[in-house]
Amino acid sequence: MNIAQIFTDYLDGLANSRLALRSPSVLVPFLVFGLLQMLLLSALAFFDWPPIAPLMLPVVRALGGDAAIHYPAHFALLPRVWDSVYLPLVATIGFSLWTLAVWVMVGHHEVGRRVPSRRFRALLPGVIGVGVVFVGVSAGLGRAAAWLAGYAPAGNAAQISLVAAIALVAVAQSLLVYAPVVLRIRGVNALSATVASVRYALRNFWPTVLVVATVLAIHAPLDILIGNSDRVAVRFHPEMVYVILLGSIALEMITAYLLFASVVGLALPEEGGLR
Amino acid sequence: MKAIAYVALLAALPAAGCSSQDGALARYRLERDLWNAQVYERRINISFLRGAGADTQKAISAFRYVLAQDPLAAPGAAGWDAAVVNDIREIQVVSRLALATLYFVSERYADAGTLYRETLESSQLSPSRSLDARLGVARSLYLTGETDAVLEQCAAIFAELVENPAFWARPRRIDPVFLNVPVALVRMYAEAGDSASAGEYAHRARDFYARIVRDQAGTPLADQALLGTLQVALARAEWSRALRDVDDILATPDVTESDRQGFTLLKGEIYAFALNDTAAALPVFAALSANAPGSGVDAAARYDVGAVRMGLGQDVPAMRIFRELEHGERVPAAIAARAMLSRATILERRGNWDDAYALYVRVGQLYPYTSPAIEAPLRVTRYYTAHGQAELARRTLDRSRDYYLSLLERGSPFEGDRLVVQAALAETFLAAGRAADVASLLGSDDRRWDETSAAAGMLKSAEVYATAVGDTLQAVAMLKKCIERFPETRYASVAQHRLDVLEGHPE
Repeated sequence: MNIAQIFTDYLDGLANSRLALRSPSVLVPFLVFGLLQMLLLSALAFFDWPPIAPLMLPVVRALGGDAAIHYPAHFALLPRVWDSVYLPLVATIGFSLWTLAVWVMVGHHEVGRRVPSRRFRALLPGVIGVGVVFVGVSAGLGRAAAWLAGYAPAGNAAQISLVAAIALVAVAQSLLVYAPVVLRIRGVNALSATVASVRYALRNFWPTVLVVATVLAIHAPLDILIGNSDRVAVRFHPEMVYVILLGSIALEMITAYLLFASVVGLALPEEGGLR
Repeated sequence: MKAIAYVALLAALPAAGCSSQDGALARYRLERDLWNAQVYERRINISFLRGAGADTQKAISAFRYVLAQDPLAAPGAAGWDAAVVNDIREIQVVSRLALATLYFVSERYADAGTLYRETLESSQLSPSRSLDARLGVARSLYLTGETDAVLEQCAAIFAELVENPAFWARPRRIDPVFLNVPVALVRMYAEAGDSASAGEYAHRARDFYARIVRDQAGTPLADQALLGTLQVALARAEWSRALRDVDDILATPDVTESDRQGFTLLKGEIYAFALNDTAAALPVFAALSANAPGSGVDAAARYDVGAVRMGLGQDVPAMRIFRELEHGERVPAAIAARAMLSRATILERRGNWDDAYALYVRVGQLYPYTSPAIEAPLRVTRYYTAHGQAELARRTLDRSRDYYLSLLERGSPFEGDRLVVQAALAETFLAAGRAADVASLLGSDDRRWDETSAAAGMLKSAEVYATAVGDTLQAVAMLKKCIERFPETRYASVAQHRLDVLEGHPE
């Protein structure tokens, strides 16, 4: 595959996100998951609000330790507390809702209209299984790479290590990102869907990596701010950390849609693709 | 049905640990309120030069809000974790001390003092916090003119320093400002005329400093203690002891060259002007000039030699030295001005008024913000008045009034003590026999003056009315004006004290 073809496929994939203009309903699962996250984040951030305080204080303490129930340390630690809620949430509910959105997008494609319809509820365990693998591999690789990067000497070496870590996560996500489409088209179990996703991603490697890297790059500025939440909390208003996390969720609603719409576009080109 | 059961379970679980959670929640809310108050406090520090009146008021309200919470008064507070209770108490102490500081900034000295006293009485404070609070009480008492109470507070601070084992365990954790308290006590008792207490505290201060020098040898704290010992000797006018203390300081290994020169100069001045031992003084000054020719300390030493010669009646060599200093390069302005004034004094004494007058005028033109320039108009006025030259005295007075008022203005580049300027203004007018004019001028509450100058001017005005003019009614009116214009300040307190004396019912 030459470079021109890689970029053509990449742009064709991104172009599939125009689908939302024709059928705004494809956005609903992303919006639902985003709103759910915002509610949970708000409950964690403002755990002292009297109606929820008796429930949320032990939760915050359990997730962030004793320091998390002090002000302003609570907001400096909020990204860590939020991570421990977000990862299981996105692996289960998040990935399920995104898969549902992928199925709706596939339904709008002529391939989707030709393959037999499937009951989402019946495949839900498989969806969650794929979600756990997807999030687990992404988070695990990301943390391992960041940990290794921490041992790199300061300066250019550290920056190169960080870029390498991001690239590693991008590759891992690229390999697994087709699984929701496979589940809809073939109706297989989690393992088969994962294996099929890896095979397809390897065939269509560079356009997929570019799409995933685009999404990660869009998130990078907010991720850097979140990584410096202690400084943000002390130098600005501590609640600013909550606002940044809220912004990250809002951005994720857009980028998750962009990612999966592009993946559907790459998986189901006019001539067939994954079919 | 399952959903209802889950909700009931969720509601029941936290209720079980409710009372311990209440404390943690109360602490969290208090920490947030404290943080918000501290944001205003930081903004005050940042915008201090631009004026931060609105932020100060907001910060005061915010800290008062923190203190108004008092979560420990809640019904279930007795059952809260000790750590939570301690944290809440710490927040309350921090807020009280911050609020007291803000009261100081707002010149609400009585409120500041009350808050510090409440803090001392209501909280178990760490040694350094306790000393901070006591210093705050002392400052507020000083600023409200409660002189006796200031002495009591300083004595309490000193006792806390000496008797507190925590201080001796970690003296370096204490703000070095507290090491000035013993010497301040000695000075205050001496100024109050209580020589017995001054003597007793001088003795105790020396013991205290000696222990610090012994325990903290080689640290900046020990250096400060050596300086404290010297200051006690100077405050008690114990000159031989002061000389020994200077030698102790000079013997420390890490004394800087500029400190060495400064303390050596002090040693020479003690010999020359306190002990009148010119034979011992002159070699010290000569050595200083030889070691650092052309420096500021060389100029100071040469001036002192001139002053010694002048005191011995050796006018010719004294005038030669002063003239050299007047025209010397790199001679500090203050020393050059003093040299001019001293030479003018000799010339006036020798009957050469024209040259003396020229020097009095010149010192004002060249060094208008120095003490000699402030003193020069008084010398000229006295001369003309003594020689019956009324018209020349009047003209001098007009010029000197404009000059002194320019120094007293808020935006004046003059950085010295404005009270000295007011005193010189009063003396000049009194020398010309125009007491009523200067009393009126000083009590005018000129808006171009800062508050300290305005308040001190009113006190001085009342003093002139009562003594030189002999108009007690005007003096009383001026003191009442001062009390009304500057309530809760030491000026009001001093005015009230003088008012009581004038009206015949002293405390």
